[in-house]
Amino acid sequence: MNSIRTLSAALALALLVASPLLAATTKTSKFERALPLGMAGVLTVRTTTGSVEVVGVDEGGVRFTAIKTVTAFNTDKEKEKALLAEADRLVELREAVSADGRNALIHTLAPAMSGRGWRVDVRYVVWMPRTADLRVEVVKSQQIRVVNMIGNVSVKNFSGTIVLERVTGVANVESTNGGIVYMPQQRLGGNVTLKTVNGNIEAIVPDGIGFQWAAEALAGDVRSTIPGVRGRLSGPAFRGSVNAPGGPTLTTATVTGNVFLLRAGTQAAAARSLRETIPQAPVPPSQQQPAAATLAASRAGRRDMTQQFVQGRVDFATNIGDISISELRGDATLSTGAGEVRLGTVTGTCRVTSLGGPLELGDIFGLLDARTQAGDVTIQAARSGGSVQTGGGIIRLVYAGGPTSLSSAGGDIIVRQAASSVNAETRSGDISISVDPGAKTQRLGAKTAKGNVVLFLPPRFGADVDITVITTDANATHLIESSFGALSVQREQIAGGKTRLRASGKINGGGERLELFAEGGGVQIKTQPVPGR
Amino acid sequence: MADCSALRENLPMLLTESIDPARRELTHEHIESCEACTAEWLAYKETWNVLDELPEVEVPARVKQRFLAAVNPQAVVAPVVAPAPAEKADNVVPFTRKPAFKWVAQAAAVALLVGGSYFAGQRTATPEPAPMVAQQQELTPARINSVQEFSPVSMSLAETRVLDASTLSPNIEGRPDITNVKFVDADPSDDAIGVSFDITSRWTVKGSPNDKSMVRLLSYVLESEGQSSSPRSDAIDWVRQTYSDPQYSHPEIANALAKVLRTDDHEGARINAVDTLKTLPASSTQQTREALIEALKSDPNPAVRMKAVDALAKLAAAGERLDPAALDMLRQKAGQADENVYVRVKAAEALGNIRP
Amino acid sequence: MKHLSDQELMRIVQAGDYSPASEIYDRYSGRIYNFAFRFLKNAEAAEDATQEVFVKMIKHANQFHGDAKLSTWLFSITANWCRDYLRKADNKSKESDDVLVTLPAPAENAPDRNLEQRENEIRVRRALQELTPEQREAILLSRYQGLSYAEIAQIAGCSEGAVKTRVFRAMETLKKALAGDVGGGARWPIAVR
Repeated sequence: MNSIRTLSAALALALLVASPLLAATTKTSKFERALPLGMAGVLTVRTTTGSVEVVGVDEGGVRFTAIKTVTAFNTDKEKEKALLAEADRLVELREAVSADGRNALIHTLAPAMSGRGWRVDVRYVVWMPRTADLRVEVVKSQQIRVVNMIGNVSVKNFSGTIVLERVTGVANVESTNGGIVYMPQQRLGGNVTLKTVNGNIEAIVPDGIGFQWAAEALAGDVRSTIPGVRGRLSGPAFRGSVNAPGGPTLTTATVTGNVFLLRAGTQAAAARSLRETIPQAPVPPSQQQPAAATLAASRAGRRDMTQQFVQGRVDFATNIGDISISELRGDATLSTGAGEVRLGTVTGTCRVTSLGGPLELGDIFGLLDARTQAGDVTIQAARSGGSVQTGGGIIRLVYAGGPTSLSSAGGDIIVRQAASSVNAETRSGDISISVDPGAKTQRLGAKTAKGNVVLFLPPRFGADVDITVITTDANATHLIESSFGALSVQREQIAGGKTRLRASGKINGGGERLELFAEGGGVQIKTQPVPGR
Repeated sequence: MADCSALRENLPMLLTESIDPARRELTHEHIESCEACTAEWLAYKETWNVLDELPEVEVPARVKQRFLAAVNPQAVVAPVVAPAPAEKADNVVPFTRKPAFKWVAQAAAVALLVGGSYFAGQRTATPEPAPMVAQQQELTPARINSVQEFSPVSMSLAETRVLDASTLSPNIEGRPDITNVKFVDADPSDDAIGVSFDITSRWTVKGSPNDKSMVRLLSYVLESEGQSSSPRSDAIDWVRQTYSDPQYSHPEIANALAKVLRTDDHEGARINAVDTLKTLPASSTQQTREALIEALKSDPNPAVRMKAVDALAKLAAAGERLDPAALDMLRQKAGQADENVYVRVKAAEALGNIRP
Repeated sequence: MKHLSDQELMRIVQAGDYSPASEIYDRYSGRIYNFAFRFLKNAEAAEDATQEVFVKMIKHANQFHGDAKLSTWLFSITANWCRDYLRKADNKSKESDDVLVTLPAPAENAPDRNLEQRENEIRVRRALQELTPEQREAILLSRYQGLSYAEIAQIAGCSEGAVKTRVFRAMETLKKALAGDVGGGARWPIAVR
């Protein structure tokens, strides 16, 4: 602790805030302190809320001023006074220097504020040696501004804008909901990483300087006003160089925001999307995108589609975005890179592809081809049948009117009324299929590598049944259950200490093939509940 | 208009007829002449009627037992200590243990336990289980087919013994092996739910979803990984339908689901568990959050991760405070290049809703 | 004992014979339990309340005046218990947590009548939780227990005028939450499961 002097004593004032019902009392205190720190030391500034401004200077030692404002709000004036005193006492401004003089710390000690009836705000202005290293951590900041630094700079916050101005050394900036502005005003002296989740990133660099550039804006866009950007885009990610290959790397990444790389003196509004200026790299087969999604690559950022009624064919693709059409008289070819797809009635064929997100489909009259790499698929009716796939998720199909194949890489499959042949397969999950009460016989297949298969058949349904169950329990009973006539069962030991049970036979005199497989579960064939229930 | 607002304060009293006749007349006269007040009056009546939708719930029987025991301790025999043989037959569900759980002491095979002798006396008066049995016949239509070495899973419906959950102690001892679990709702118009299962014979426990014993039993069913041939997701689906109603919210159910989410290798069950956690009003326990974070971090099924992130996003949007571990995981997922884009975007959106 | 009046039963209890306990419990436990459950939105607490209210009734039977209504007296004890319960800091926070984490039920269930009724139930429950404890107490006693404003005033320990205001405020809030526009906005046509 190295406190030199406290400039001003407290001054308390009550003021009315916006809400006329809730008056608040505020107390502001100002501190001015100094700490020794060498030109090659490390300064850490850490606070919960407020703003931090750090200015690099050409001399040793750290000086700072801090303004602490505590605000209490309570309808009872006495209580409010007590709260204010509590806040003032609990929020402490501290500073410290390590014994060797290499590390200095400026920080605010404050308990969690939520629910206490008061809040605090601390504004720091710090002067420090520009060659020293700086670390700033603020949870919720109005603004963090770092100016004129050569040493390594690292800044972290949750929300609030971060500005680095004339910071030319190695810099590491990480925010969650805040934006980042980076203005080196000269050549980069080291690698710079700017990352946020929900903010924009703006890097403004002098004309002509060269560096490597890696950029990603997953649901946003990467744009630049510099003509000398060369490199490759693969999906939302860009890698390349600016002006000349080689040199330090500038990494800029955001998820929902945009990235701008601007030549000093140009405006963000004039920046062009890299998707327009840079060729797309071929996509490795492992993450092959559907054709339609690649078409959409020329359009950046989030793009949703919402339509109540469409007459005629629809072709739509988006990189990120939800698609919703209540009624479509025609064929549909739709794709999204990530988002939810909801369709009501589609009278024509329906092709839906998603790289991630649930599909909710209504009454599909034409052939259906629906696939998502992740998410549940819910379909009211596939009147002409088709194919449904998910890379993980539950498939629910109410009505299958034509031959239908359903496959999930992990998740249950439920078919409520199979009026045609159905083939269902899941890697891990239960399969339940109810056959149309009017069906006499039809082909059915169900296979789960971990789970149960349950089939509900009309009482007079005829089929040639072939059931296989693999279990680790050699003495397992009741893993195959049938409400129809007796099936002959064979039991055999197979590799891995497992037992295979096979049951086959004809029910109701035989019919189409009914092939059921379950591992780690059982198979049940049941008669449907009596109609009219 | 000034007299409108004065009269409006009378409207609730008009509804309960607790207003003196003179003012009643005055108020009615005004309502008839004033369009705004007519609308108000209609809205009041509608509100008053909608309030009727809240059903009366039954007091769990154990409350009376506790009350009587407190008032007159001698009057209630502690049946656990010395149950009369006849009562035992009625109130004790004998759980046999799985051989796998040898670590469980070989003590009494008694698990679900017992109301008081007071209720033993009353048991004969409990409602006839007949409708529930009828329902079971519909729900379990399978005539189990005994083939060769398969011993039939005999489930003679007549053997089902019905117990009222409120008369049971919520403690389940050991790890009884319960099989062939079925959920029954004998009378959809009342609040009671029922669970049937086999131990040594078939039992049906029915009672309010709020009942401690019922909650404990359901948690146990959810967590039991015993290989049953009925779909794993049935239990979870059923729990979701019952417990998404805030009046039945119960952290123990949420925790049981969290356990399924963490440990079950049946992916359908995990997807259903996380889906259900998302809809349960009481899902926000520390345990469930940790399970959601864990699922988001490492569940191999992308649908589970998607739903976990959705669940966390929902908590964040509802103003819940997420702990640093949750925030870190959301941040990590938003930035993870090889994660599904949908998961990344949802993680980012969740973070965007958080105001520290 | 079924033919005896409340007052007669209480006189027996006051004489030190607790045998009417069961009968009195049967007469009022339902109303007490439901009131507490709706007030506190917590089944476990409602159980405790019910048990303790009746224990108090027996133990402090001498405080009961023969000319008063037993129900009013019991509701006074219950309301006190519930207010105390809410006053305890941790219970309070539990309650507000409950409200915070109330997530909407899934819309994917089949829209049959039963469900609709259930939805209404849920809406009513949520709406009741929006009221202040005083307002909730007043409306529960008035709407569900059919007590007069005078009785409610006695139970709540306030004036009749205050009861009138509380019921009115409660109705204003409930009206906003419950009257009109029941269906809400546009519904997606798909309802599978």
